[in-house]
Amino acid sequence: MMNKNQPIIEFKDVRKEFGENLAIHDLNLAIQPGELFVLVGTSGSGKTTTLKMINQLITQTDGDILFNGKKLKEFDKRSLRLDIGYVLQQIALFPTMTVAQNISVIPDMKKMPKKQIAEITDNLLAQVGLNPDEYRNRMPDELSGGEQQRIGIVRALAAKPPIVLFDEPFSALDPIVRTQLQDLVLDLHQRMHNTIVFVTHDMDEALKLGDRIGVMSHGQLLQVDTPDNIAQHPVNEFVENFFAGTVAKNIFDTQLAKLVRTGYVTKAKSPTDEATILTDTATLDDAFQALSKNTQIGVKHDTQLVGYLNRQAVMRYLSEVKR
Amino acid sequence: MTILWNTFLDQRVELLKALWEHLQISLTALLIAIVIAIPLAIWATHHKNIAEFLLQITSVLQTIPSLALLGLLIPLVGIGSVPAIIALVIYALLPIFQNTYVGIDEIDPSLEEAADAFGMSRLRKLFKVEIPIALPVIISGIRTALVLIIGTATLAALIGAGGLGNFILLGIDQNDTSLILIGAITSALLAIILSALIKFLQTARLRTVIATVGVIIVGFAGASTYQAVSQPKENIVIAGKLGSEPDILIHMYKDLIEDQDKSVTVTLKPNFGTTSFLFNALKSKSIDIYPEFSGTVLESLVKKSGQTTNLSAHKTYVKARDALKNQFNMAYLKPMAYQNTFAIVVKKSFAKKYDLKTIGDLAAIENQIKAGMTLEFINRTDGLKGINKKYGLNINARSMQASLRYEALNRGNINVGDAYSTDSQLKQLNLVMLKDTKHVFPPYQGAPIMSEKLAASHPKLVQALNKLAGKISDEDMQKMNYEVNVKKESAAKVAKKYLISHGLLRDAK
Repeated sequence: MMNKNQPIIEFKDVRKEFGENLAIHDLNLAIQPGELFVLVGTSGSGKTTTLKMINQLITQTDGDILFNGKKLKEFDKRSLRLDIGYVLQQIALFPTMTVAQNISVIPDMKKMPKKQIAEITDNLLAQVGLNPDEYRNRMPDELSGGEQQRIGIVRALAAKPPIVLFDEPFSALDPIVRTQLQDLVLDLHQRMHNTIVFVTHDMDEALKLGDRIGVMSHGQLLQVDTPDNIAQHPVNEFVENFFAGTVAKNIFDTQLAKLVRTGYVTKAKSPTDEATILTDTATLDDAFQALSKNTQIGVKHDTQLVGYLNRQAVMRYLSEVKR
Repeated sequence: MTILWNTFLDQRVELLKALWEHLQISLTALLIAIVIAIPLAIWATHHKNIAEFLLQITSVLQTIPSLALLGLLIPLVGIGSVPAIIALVIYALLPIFQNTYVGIDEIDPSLEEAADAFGMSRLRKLFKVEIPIALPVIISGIRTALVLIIGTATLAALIGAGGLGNFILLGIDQNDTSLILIGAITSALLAIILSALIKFLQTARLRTVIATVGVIIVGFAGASTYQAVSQPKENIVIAGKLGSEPDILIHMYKDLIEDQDKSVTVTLKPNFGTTSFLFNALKSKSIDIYPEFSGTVLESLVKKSGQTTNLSAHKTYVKARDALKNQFNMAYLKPMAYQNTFAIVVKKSFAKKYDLKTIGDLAAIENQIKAGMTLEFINRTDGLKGINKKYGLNINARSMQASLRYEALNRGNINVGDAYSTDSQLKQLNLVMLKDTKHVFPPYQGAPIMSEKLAASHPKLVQALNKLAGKISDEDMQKMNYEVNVKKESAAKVAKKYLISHGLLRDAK
């Protein structure tokens, strides 16, 4: 556990059945305040069901879910939902409302003063890289998919909820936009310190975003851990395969961060050669070029040097990676 | 085209009045249908199994022929605008209900999920999300309903609710295409204009929509209230059957009454329908006065006792008057001079060819007879039934609307028809009446019927109407009918001209 405080969300022996189908088996999970927690799994794994039980769009069959230590059953459902932001895969901006009206949906219900809502709207639009003067009065159908989901995120954040749920929010967007929005989520999370529960089927996305990751399959939570630990110590073959599967798409595009997590990077620098420094978001393709000149490269995360990668380690990674 | 334009200029006051009535009936029906169908459809979106059932019901209601529906409503709610509005509401339910239901039901489920997840209450979700999204579909349902209503409302004239249908009915009756066209074109234009207005609302914001609908309702209520308030005088409603003769008579009644008693205004409901229709309206006090023939009273309205045929004109009248008094507490005022009676007519050329002079002469050419007659005549014992019995004939007549029957006679589609002896068409179409040697047709005299109570409380009214007693000869009536039917003069003008030239009314000018 990275935080010893009371969890903001806690699942206790939660089961969910849809008719005959057991969708969630005895789920136990604690999510800490301020954490960006990612639930990852294939379709039908129960990750979305788990997410929707947090805002009670789906009600558990058995067991208890606690919000700041209090059972969800004891909350008034509507006021509970006002404190839980929600970003949908289908984006679902209300088509008859302008951008500003969409954003003000929840603040309106919380009876915030109009002026304050306008300020929040402009401020948040600017933060997600959309000029408020230009976008405020547009209709959703005048926006690109990426712009729409930025508004979707702003709408979820507008009332400053302590917790925000993301339900596969970027799966319908193209890779470039997806990367931009992932960066945006990380950026906003760092600034706002709210709790995020993020559902995805994309392990790359999970590894990039998650403070901790929960891997789900067939209604069971297999492993909950930091990205590094999941990568280095998968609890079983399923988790290992699921993780490995993510790199197989195109090995040249694998980010160096993945090699850092899986332990191919050494702290020791070989004294005999120079080392080009690359960030961990650089790809293997970039590394090949650099390694053609030198026998080793340095890898940094943000501004901090995390270690060195030499030619042998890269060859070992390529030979060991599962396809 | 010029004829059409002239008729339009002639009738523009009447047209405006009919247009207003039409609009009143249509919009009232539309508003009621909206108030019923939209909430019901919204409720149904949460009860899918019932929704199917309701859709079935509204579809079934839609399939009832409008004429039948109007007929079915008469015994329940009487005549006039009430049954018309009920029938129109019933027709408008389906498109509005269906579109509202479908519009809301087909909203993207993810939007519903978003609204729920954001903590919206059901009402808030309805007004902020569901209705705005479904609004274009709902409004197009309302448009469909409106066009349907405005078209069907022309039938309202059949049950005395007035409107543009009056022009169409009158046009058919007087064989005047211009009138039919004016009624039809105005009704079509009304539908197009209102539909365009709604289309404009469809693209407007919700607030504009509510504001516009509000203005229409307030304006409507205001105009109706003004109408009600601005008539402090006592109002007497006089109706007449379809046709020029009753139309002329009731205009005379109006002129005479308003001249005699300044505290009273008279509202006319011309071309109000058939005999039983008017009599029921009188009984239910939907109307106060209408002119009726003595023979018709005896034959169709009262329970018969003793001899009813083969009576003199005076005896027929007295018998009718007493029966109305005893059975219905109604006053039958003094009759006018002219005697109207049924007649069997043929074209002059046809009469000459077969040497036809009396009804009995028809026996010789019975196998060549192609008869067309009004439904009323065919079924009356002093009509075709009596003729066949007394003269030993076996005439089978096709039933036809009165003016269409004349048209058919003229074109030779039929060669024997029924007629009223004062009809202008006899002169116009060169028809001859066959003599009723066996006196099957009673001589009919016309006089106004009203309730005894009204007669007792309004002596001036009785006085005014009695001025016509013994007036108007057969020739006068035929001439006036001719002026209206053929020369296309207005009934009001013809009526006034007669009254003034006979010293019954002072010339206003």
